[in-house]
Amino acid sequence: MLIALGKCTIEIDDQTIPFVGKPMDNSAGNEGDQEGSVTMFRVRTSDELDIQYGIVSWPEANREVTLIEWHSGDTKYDSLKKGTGRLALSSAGANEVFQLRAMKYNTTSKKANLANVTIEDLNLWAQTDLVELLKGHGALRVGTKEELTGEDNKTKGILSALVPSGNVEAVAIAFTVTRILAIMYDYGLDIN
Amino acid sequence: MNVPLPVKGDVIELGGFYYFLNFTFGDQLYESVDTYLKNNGDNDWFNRIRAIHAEKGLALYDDANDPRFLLKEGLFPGSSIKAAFPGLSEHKDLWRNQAAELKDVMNNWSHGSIRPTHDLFLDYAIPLFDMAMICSLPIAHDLQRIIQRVRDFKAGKTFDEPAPQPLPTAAQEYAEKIADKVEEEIQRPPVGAAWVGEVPARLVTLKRQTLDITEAGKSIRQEFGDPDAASRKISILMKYFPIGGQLRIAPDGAIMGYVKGDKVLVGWVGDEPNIDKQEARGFFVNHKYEYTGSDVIDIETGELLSTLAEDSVANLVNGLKVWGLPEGSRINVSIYGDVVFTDPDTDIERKITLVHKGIWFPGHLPG
Repeated sequence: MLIALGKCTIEIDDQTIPFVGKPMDNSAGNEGDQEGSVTMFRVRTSDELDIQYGIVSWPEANREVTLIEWHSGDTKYDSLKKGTGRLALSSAGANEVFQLRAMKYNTTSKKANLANVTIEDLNLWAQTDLVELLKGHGALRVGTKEELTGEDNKTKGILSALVPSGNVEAVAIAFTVTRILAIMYDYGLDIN
Repeated sequence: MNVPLPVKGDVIELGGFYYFLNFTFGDQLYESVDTYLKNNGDNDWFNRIRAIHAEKGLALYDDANDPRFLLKEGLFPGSSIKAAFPGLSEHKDLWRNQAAELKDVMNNWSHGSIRPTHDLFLDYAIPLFDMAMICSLPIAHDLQRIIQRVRDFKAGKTFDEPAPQPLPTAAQEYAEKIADKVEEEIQRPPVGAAWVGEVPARLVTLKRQTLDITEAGKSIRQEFGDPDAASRKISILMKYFPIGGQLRIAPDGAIMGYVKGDKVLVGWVGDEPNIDKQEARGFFVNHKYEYTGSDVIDIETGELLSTLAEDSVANLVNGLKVWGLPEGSRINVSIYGDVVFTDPDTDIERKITLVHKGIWFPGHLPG
């Protein structure tokens, strides 16, 4: 499946293949390698980034989005090459929730890391109403984590998305906007 | 007889209409002035006035029906033929204010410095209509129809009408000159504008830490000219790419970079081609400026350049002073960053200096 998203395209594989590795979710009992499965998606941007990610499901851990292969791209995307910006989902009943935080350049540390972001920025980078787009690809709701899950902890105010368990498309879109397009649009840098 | 209406509203057609209207307005104003003076036995007025203008060091026009010449004469409080100008004795201040505004706009158009967009065409045609009304010239009626037509274009209306009768040759020649200028801009856009053509194969890296540009690990700084020129050019590139990044260089030295995912012409390795020290390139940006003697003001917003520009403008302002720009002068800037002064006496357009987006009002220049 090919999705056009702002200044990039996302090509999602039709098939899921086995994947062996160590889950990002390292809660008790998840320390070693597991054999999971992955659905890969490849993002190509107007500024020549070509990168492949996988949405990995684990038998004993939460799903995640991780770097599969960097094909080519400019140095501005180097943080992605190193694997920064992985995304972890967590289960919420029959659904899953994940945070919408974006790759932001920190002018002090000179590095890009995940940071809070407004829906207006996300819409600008996606060149569309992102919430509507995510819903069109299966997402249930977008809001603060507290609004979506009733959670009352230190991450309750973070903008997040709720998807039915196993959703691929909305996860791939949200990941692409918050990681790749955020860097394309120089999030955190003041450029006129 | 009604003059034709534009049917397409594109840059070339509106350029032709500007010329045609200007010519017709000048003709009608001349007729009115000439008839009055000849009826009063003054048959050689043009040569006499022209000699006075020459003595004062003012622009000399070959045609008595050049509207700039006529308006300039009408603007003189001491003009010996002021009684001949229609409407002047009844509406003295209004006439002079309108004429002064119109003369500046006409000058910029006549030098081909205005891109004939709908808005800019209206900025010319509306004061021309007002002046035609004050002077009771028949062209006012035609202008009203043409202004309405251009407002319709602006609102997105299209007109499925046969092309109007061709405009006079001189108007068509002017329109072709404008078309050439548009084409030139497409082929060689200013720094900061969208890149035209293929992505160049030569890949280089702009380095934040060393403020250098490397190709396969080796510095190519020397290609950017002497050390000062290289530093200046690299610091301008750093504005687009504050953390560095990859750039592509075309065989002619044009540098392409991706800015927010778009291909942009971000600079030149060597000297930018086709730069003329005297002559400005490109159409003016749609802002009016005034030099105060110590700063530059955006006339519409009243904002000062020194408070808004990203970098220090001390050198620029000093340069304007050294150049001898009179305090209170109106200046224009072309989209290539050429700062232009049109001498109100001689009507000659002169390029003073070149600015980049870091030392100009944010958002006024491309990029």
